[in-house]
Amino acid sequence: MHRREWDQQMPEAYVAGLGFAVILGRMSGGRLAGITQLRMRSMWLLWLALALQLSQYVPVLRVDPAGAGHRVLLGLSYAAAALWLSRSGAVQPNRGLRIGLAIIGLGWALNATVVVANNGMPVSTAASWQAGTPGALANSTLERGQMYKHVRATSATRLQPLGDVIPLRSLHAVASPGDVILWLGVLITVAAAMRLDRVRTGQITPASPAAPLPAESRTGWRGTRADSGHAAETTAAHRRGKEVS
Amino acid sequence: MTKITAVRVVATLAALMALLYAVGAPHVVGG
Repeated sequence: MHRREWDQQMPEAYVAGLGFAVILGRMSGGRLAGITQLRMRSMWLLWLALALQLSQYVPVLRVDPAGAGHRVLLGLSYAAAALWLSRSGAVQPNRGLRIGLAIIGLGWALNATVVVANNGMPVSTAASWQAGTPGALANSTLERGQMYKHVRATSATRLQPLGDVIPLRSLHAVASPGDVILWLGVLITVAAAMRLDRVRTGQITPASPAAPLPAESRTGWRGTRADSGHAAETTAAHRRGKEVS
Repeated sequence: MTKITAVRVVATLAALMALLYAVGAPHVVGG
């Protein structure tokens, strides 16, 4: 894997962003273990979406960035992510989680539309200049036309306002409106999941009553019965809380 | 937090990171 290209996908920012989401969840009264309240279905779809994109870092698997195969690959990847979001969103046990995943879905829609329309995410040169330095721009794989998921925005770019047009100077990065909405959705999802755990155990009062778990989600995380014991414990604890009060 | 819960927390965070990577498309231009 080419280190420089990997750098340009902001892995550190993802870790930092998730850390920030966890901190927000803690500040809102949640706890880290609660994040497992997020129900996930058909995980293979998410891993497929990721693998399709990561395959482009492997030289023997790389397709022509300007060709139809690249468009199909990106389209399949985004479609797999959408299916995963749809399937997982349908089994969330609480409104906050459903809202969070719906917002993530909106971010997906904005990014997928502009990526498929342009065979990659168009990056504004003007925004890049505002976010980076001339030296960094000269070394950018985007400037060399090699960055598989991004393309340089030109006058022929479709839906340019949905592209990477938002300069983030502190991160030396350029983001799209879909990226911003995506991150907002993740923040809400993580905070809601962390808080839900404490609502279930009766340690904090819910803003709105948590909906009962859908029948198919009672089997727990990833469709296993791994957390059915945990669910029973939290339900029992909740009942004990009611008896005391 | 039990070991199993800790593993599930890490797995969930990893899944969210995969989601951010697969759906998001920010571009780093360097500092």
